[in-house]
Amino acid sequence: MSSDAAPAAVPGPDDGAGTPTSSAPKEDPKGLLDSLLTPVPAARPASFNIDPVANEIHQEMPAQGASSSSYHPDGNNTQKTGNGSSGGRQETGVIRAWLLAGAERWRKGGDARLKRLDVWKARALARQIKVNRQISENRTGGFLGTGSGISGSGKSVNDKGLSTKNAPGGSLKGPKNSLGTSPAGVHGGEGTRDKGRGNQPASNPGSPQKTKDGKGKDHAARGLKGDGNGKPGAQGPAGKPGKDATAQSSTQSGKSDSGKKADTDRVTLGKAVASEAKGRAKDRLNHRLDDRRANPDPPIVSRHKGNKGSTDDAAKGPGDKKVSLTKTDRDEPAKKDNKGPDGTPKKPGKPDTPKTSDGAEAAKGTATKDKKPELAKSKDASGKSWTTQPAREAGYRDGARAARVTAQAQAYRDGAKDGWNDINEAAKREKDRLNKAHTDRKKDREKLKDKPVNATSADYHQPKPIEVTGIDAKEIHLGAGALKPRVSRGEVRNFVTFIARLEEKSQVMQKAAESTKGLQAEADTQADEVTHLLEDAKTVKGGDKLVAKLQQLADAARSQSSKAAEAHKRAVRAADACKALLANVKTRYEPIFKAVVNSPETRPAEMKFYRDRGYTTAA
Amino acid sequence: MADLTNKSLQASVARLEKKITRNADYIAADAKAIDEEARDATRVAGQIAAKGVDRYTVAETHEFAKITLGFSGSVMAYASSGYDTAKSAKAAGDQARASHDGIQQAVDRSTVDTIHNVHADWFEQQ
Repeated sequence: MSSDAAPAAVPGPDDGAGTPTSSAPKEDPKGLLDSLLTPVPAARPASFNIDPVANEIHQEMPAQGASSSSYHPDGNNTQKTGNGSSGGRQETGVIRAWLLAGAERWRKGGDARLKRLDVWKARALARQIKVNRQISENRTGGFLGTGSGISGSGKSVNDKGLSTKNAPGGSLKGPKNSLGTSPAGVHGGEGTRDKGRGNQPASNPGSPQKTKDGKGKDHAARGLKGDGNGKPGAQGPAGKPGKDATAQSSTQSGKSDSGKKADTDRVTLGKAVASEAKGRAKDRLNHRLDDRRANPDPPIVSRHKGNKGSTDDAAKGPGDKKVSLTKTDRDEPAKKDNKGPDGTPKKPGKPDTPKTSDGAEAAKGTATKDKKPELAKSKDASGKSWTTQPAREAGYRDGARAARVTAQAQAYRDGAKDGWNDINEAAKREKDRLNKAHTDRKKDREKLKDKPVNATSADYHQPKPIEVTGIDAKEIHLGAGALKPRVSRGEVRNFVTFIARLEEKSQVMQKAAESTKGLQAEADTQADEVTHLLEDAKTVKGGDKLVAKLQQLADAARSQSSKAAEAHKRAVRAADACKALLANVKTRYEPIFKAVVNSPETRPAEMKFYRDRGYTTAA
Repeated sequence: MADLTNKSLQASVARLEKKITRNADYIAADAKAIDEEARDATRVAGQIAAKGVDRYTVAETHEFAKITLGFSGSVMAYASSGYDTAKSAKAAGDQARASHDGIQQAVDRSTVDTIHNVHADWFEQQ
């Protein structure tokens, strides 16, 4: 595609340059042949690989192309619609072969380009990492003084970009062109055309050369501008519009000139001039290559530069270099031509140089040096529109950095707020907790304090009052709960009291004997029940330990029942003893007491008064 | 086959313990009262002796007091024996609980309907 597009543009500039360069083609064949033979090996880089077939074809090309007609058919072929091709068909076949070879080279170069692109991509990635580190440094600096860090980094970046850009002269384009994966060959073709135009004026006196170059560069610049403008949107398409613009301009010029046959010579001249420009471009490329080696970054820029200067995108691919070589060969005659008409002192140096690539390069170098400032000026003049993009980029970058710094500051502010609030909340919770603990502790202390109690020991040892059922002259009758039913006035002084006490005891003993009898019966039933449990436990096989415990229980119940029997026996004996005592006391003293009761006296006389119990003789 | 079960055994033992303890408390109180009677009889004997009551009556009163003391002592022994019985009943209940409560609960939770028909040898330890 690119190869097709390239020739399409060629005829235009040829037409435009047609008139002035008529004398050039005569000298071309020799110069071209010589230049082809000599400079090729020197100009090729060591790594340059081309198919032998392609080389042969390519070498043949200039030989046949020595006649200006060889270039003419290109224009005819490419301008299919506009110009009927008067050129020989044989040439077309050669041109086809040449184009095919170029296409092959370009295709092969494309692979290498892809690989290089990968390498550059990797380098760019590595470089991106470095840039990020710088930004991080800026952040740190930003806290202390935001402005300084950013500006420093920005400068460094700018410097790099500018340095790379400056080499080609189209400084602005560098970064944008980096995207320019779009076929470099196409651009190269454009570049040649543009320079061809420049050459048209070159037929004019020497001063115009500069203008030509300037124009050519202007065209290139325009094309580049077109590229630059287009590229930000989309890489591929961007490149084409630039071509179109140049093509249009070339076509317009061609139309104006309209002499196409004569144009072939002019074309050669134009090409030769273009070759000069390409030679410059070569130098630039060499510089760029050096720069690339030194700095991995520029490569991308160099491509675009290649677009301006020449087809030489070749810098990337071998095939392109060949083309450039041929063009360099042409450059020499072109220079001669240019210088011839110019009549300037430049000529003497040039004729010597043409065969050796070094001399040509040197001459080109001088030319380029002369022209570079012009280029820069022109770029500067036209660069105002360009300057806005880097400014915008720089602004974006600086804005992004400032935003990063401000974002850091804002994040710091937010974080400070959050931290402040969180800690305050935690402290408040802690304070509440401690206050609560404090109050609770106070309450506990108040509870634990010993309060004075107005109470006597009686309050803690409360005796149960004994109910008194009745009081008579001799006794106090007590209710339930008392040990004694009655409390006498104490001492037994007479027969009646004694009898009453004994009767009371006799009742108690009688009662106890009866209760003990009940106790004995109950103890017996208990013993029987426990024995029954024991036997059942044995039958159930409830376990040795349980049976043993039950055996102990049965024994205790048995002993208890035996003691109940003992208590009952003693109770009966006590009751009997009490009854016997009572009966004996009554037997002994009751008759006398009854006699006293029956006597008018309340009490008997002294008992000695009644000692005369026997018969006493009367005196 | 006896109708005795683990739960009925523990219940009867617990009932025995409670009843014996309660009776022992009452009997101990009665024993104190009887002892008090015996002391009173001894004091009365001294008082009638001071009035010149014949020695037989005084002697018989002393005898009565002595018998009553013996009676109260035997009652006290019965009460203490009751405490012992209650204690052994409690020990039997504890033993029954320790020996069979775990098994009882396991059997209660058992999902086997005829678990009570399973022979005890089935669960015997080796």
